[in-house]
Amino acid sequence: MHTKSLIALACSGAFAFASPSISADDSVNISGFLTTGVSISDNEIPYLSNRGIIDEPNFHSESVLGIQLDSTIDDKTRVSTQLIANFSSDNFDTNAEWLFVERNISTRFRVRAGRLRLPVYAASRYVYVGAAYPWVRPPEEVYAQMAGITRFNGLDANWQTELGPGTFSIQPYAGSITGEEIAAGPITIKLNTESLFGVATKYAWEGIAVQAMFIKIDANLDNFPTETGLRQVSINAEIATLALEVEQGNFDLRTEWASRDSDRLGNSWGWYGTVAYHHNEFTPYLTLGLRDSEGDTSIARDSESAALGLRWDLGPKIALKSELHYGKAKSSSKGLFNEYIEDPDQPGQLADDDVLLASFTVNVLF
Amino acid sequence: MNPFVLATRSLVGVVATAAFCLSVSQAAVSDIVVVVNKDNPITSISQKEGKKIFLGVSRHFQHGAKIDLVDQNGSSELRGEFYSLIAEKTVSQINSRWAGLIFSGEAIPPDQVDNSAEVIKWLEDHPNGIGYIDSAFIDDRVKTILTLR
Repeated sequence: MHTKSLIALACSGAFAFASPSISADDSVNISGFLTTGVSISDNEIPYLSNRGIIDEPNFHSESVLGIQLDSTIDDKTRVSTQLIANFSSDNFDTNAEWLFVERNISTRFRVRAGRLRLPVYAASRYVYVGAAYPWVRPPEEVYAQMAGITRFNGLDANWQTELGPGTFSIQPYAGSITGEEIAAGPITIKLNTESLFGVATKYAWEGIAVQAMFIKIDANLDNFPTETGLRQVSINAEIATLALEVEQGNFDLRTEWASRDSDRLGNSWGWYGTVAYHHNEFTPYLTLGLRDSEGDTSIARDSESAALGLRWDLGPKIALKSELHYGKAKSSSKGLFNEYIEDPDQPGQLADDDVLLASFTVNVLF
Repeated sequence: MNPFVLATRSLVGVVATAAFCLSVSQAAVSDIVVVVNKDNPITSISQKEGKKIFLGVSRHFQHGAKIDLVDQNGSSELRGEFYSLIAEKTVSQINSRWAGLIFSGEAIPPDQVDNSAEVIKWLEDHPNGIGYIDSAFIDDRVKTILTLR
């Protein structure tokens, strides 16, 4: 859904009011977020999916603008939309990331219908919102396993209950994805699902949250690269994710493990762990990441990485982040690089298999 | 006057002045209280329940009504103190958390007002509202359900 004019209208309205969030009246609220910055690596091979960071300053790879409109219809019904302008691609695509109507059936049970965010990972629901997490970007070892697919059209339900010392919630969902484009290096693959369903669960108590998620997709991919050229193929994929978040005093621990089983994309798993320490407005953090796979190395993304960063909350609505990231491709795969460029002197090896990446971003809420 | 008596009087004077100043400064440090509309049937909540409400975990009062949150402006000093007392979190942790809740579609952003007097005015118009104020501002338009500090 291309909605450039709508987002322009929403932006002009938002900035005209220049207040953190705007209530047009008691039942409509407009809010938004903007992340922009610069990244540069020491490797000429484009690095990180959809971002393609190289050894020249890149000012658009981390940039994203979101405008959200929430409208309360009555005490139990709400309509919400989030429009995302993602500047990581040259054509500045703008999409309705979600557009749903929500009905609260009871205080513990709600249903939603429309375009919804896919809850596949712990931070899936706010994956574009830099102000909501410590990193410059969510670790790709886990978050790139869905190839940038973040939304679907369909239904979900959410049931929440007190259980022991904490709160348990379960969110089943089902629907479809039509014509979603996936950037795969120089190729653009188009995805249409035949079936899509999943479930996300969470148990939270005393600053600790455990999340377990599962999704199953059967789909057709147009323009998929095969040994006989680009053609349409059918695929299936199952992704299971387990995440733990612990907030104790000034320390935050986040760790997540995701496993993907797929007939054509191969079986792989990814993991990261982050430790962050809050000291007044400063939050330094360290992240380690791993990704490994079985079988065919031509489609594997085996890699390891380490990132050291600092988030600086300049005010309640603005945070600066800087991060130094080291990544290395493993097992003769292309790792998290976007292209496989072979070393002419060592066939079967990447020309340059490691990368040092520096990033600086500004994250604003309004 | 006997120098000893003079020194003693002076010392007593200094101690008395210091004690007065200390008592005045203690009186100036008021509590932070969680308040609701005076017609809300709820009479009290625990600090743990308050934490769940202001972290966006609990969305309904015990009697089933949907909670309307009001927050104080981001630059308010009281805001930092409040979240430190009720949730043991820094303002940046709170900002991150609410950014995640709002922009995941899970919650509508709380209304924000500038100060305690504005919170009271806001609660008058919101029967299911809940907010926090400096206890020096308490009046009969709101009901105190939790005292912090």
